[in-house]
Amino acid sequence: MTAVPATRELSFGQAINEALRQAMRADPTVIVLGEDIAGGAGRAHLGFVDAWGGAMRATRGLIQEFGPERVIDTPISEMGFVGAAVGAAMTGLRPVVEVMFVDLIGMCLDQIVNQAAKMHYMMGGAVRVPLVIRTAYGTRGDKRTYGGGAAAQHSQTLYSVLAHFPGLKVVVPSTAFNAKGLTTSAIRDDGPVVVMEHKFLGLHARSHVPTEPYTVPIGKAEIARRGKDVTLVGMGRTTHLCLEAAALLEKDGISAEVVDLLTLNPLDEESVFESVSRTHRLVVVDEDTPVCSIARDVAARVAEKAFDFLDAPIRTVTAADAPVPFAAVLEALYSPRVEQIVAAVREQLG
Amino acid sequence: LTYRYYGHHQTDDTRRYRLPGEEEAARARDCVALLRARLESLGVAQADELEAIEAENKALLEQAVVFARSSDLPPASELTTDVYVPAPGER
Repeated sequence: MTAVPATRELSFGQAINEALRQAMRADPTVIVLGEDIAGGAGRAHLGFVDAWGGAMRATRGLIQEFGPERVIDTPISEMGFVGAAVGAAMTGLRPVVEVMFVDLIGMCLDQIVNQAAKMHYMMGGAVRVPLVIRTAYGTRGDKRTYGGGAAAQHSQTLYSVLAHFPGLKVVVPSTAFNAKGLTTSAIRDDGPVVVMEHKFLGLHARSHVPTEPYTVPIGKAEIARRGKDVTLVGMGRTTHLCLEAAALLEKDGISAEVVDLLTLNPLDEESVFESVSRTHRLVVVDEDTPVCSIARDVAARVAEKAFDFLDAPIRTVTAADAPVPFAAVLEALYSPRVEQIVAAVREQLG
Repeated sequence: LTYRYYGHHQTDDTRRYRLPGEEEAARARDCVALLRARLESLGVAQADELEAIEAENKALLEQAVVFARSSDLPPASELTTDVYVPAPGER
């Protein structure tokens, strides 16, 4: 008889917390650093108590267990602390650095693009940068709908920007289960990996998560729902929009398959081609702005390499080609919506 | 050095992570207050002039809040308005 692995329901943030905690217990070279990851910890009058634990609460409690030498609350200087993490990764540690919101990535892009992503290549494979960058993205979306009102500088998605750089892996978990597994894989990976955590999922997604450490492979998409009439490709938050659209389409007798990319670079195009070879239609749903997006990258790969499978033009549903607006009524129009996905499928099926 | 008197957002309670007396010390070297005192001591501006400027700006801000609260919500067309500056000759 095989023992059933123990699981219990965790939030997305708690699942990441557990991945960090278990990795830090297993490997003393794993450290975490970033702004407010403990929040005031180490102040003489407070002791090592974290006041905050990061925007997703993903680092909450780590300083109590691992102390301020491995849980480093940094000043507000992304260039400084991401640079420090890159250097630490090159010289024997496995840093997990939190860039609170991906909107701040511009502050440290040189450290990521010109140092972390290409050092292995430039040194002829002699140097490895086992770095994890965790960062929150997306419109805040307090409720089921959007409308977080975090505005143009704290709501961006930007994963297509990071997926652009050769040498940098980019993963986008969609559930608490794959958040823990992908975070664990990212920490064990010997190269730099960006883990993109959607703000809405971070605070609201819950699923059953095994208590033991486990990995979800980087570079592998998953079929989140089986179907035969159309393939909906999602990533992170948009996987859930695709699943909602598929449930609505089912009422009309349309069977939609949902492919959750999980990794944006290296992208598992084979899984997309395989799905499209059975459904013959493709809609890609991407929360990033449309120009140079993952949506258009997937569409181009299918158009180049799997065109003969298609029975209808590929459709993409993306954010508007604009900064994220502040007003809730506009933010609700900005990001991809379930009804847009349903409308795209209906058009394809004519 | 910049010092933030208030929380980073509405629910941020600064007492959770600040040393006692820290904010008072920052207020004692508040650069706005120091500049004001310096302007007065140098005779660049009188106290009543500075108070008038302050009152004028406070009134402007209050008007802005009233305007914002009483305005209609923006129409959908605003979503993609003002992304790019118009090309020369346009608009």
